[in-house]
Amino acid sequence: MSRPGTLSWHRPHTRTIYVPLTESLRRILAGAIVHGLRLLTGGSAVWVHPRGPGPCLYFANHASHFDTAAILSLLPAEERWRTRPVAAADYWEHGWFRRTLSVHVLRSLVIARGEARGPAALAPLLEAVEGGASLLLYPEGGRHSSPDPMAFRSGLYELAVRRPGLACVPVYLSDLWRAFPKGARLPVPVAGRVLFGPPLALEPGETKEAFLDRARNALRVLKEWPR
Amino acid sequence: MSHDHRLTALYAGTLVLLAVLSIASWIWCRIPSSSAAAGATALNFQARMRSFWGIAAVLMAALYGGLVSTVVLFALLSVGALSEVVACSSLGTRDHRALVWSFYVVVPAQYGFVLLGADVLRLTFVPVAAFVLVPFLVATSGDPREFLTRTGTIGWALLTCVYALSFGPALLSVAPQKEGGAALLFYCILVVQLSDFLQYAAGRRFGHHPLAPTLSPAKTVEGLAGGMLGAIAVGTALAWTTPFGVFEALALSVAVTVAGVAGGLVFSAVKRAAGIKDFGSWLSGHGGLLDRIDSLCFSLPAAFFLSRYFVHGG
Repeated sequence: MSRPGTLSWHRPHTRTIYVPLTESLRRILAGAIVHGLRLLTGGSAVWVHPRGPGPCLYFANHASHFDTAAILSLLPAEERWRTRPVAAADYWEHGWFRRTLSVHVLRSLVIARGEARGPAALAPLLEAVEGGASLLLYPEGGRHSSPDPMAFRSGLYELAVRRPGLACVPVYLSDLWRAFPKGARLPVPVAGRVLFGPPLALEPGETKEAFLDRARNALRVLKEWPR
Repeated sequence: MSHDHRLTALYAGTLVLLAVLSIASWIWCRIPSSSAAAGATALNFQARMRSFWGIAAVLMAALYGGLVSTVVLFALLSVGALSEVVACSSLGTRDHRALVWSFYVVVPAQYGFVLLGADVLRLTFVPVAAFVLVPFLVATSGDPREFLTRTGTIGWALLTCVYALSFGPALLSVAPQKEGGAALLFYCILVVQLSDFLQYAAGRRFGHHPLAPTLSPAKTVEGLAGGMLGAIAVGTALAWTTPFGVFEALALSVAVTVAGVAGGLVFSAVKRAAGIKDFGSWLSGHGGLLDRIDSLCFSLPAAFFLSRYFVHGG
């Protein structure tokens, strides 16, 4: 893990390029990508509920590669630099470009999707939360070109169970699914909104299904939020 | 770069006006307000003034820079406006290909024609794209449902946000003297924006009778009359900054304010149909980009054709 001001030489996974990336260079790169993409999509933030002071777990619907940039660019600077996106290993560890972008520049936490996941897969996420990071998770488990959120995978629940105090903030990305739908080659600049809702917490005795349903409904409430 | 004393005079006058209004808004916000609504109006007025400084800075820099920077500014305005119309429409992923063509081909091509002075292409390209290219792309998208709604939405968006706005930089080439174009365009934008602003101010102060309650609840007959008369009076008084005489300036002011009111009402209908209050929220005090330039979309073609008539007689 790179600390501010230190030079981190990233260890090779299989066959990779050594990227000497100081924290300040990383932030410049990440900032340029995040704000550049935001300029293209022109998203604006709607804080339905004011953001709490502590680190939190943002969970959002996922339609395009712009989603992470849109959310990060709309967070306050301090929160932006401690928020780490959670990315799917099979996609974001594929090839040096994606890996550099996700793991090294945006400091994504890469985890295996669904069945490929072992019992200790969430350990790096919990460790990051312990270290004061906020997480950005897409519980639908992939990109979907539909305004209605899909059924959630269990990761959100597993994190909520293991860190009961963690505020789970619903984030609904409106219209961004039109900007760069899955399978499209070129993005179009469609102005969208990013709505941040009131945080959820796991209630005592709440089942996995009940919690995931509640979380998904929180996104639906934001979807219908008036302009 | 040209040194046009008329443009300098318009810039100076605008800056003085902005300064006076900003000081007024600053004082207004510091007077204890009688009600919460009055306080909110004062804050909104102050936010509007702040945004106006930014708008004025960008517009003045672009017009001062000449044709290329003006074309680039209007191309960006078109992209932003198109983006906001698409965002509030019912277009979906099945229309992505038509949108890619709109943003990547239609917009650059149209402003390319403006830059090259290719007038026939500039006047025919977007209508052809809207009536031929877009229907073809939607028809071959693999999903013909709601065909007319989708083609209508994209075509209308192209005609208002790209075609109509491109008359702005086209106005630069209309003026008889080579340098007069920037001043003429700035004059038209100033009169339209002044009309909008005075309608808002007069409506807040004297408004009683709603103009179009189903379209735009804030617009009133008193506001409309006050705003239009005020803008036409200023426009006529500023006749010396245009290449035309007093009568032509009066006709031009009437045309752009009337067209501007029509534009405002039409874009209000778009918002009401989509169930939204504003097109966006990033332009503090105003809403989105289109909330500010909706009237220009209708005024600029009127300004172009009328000016052309005055210069060339038809």
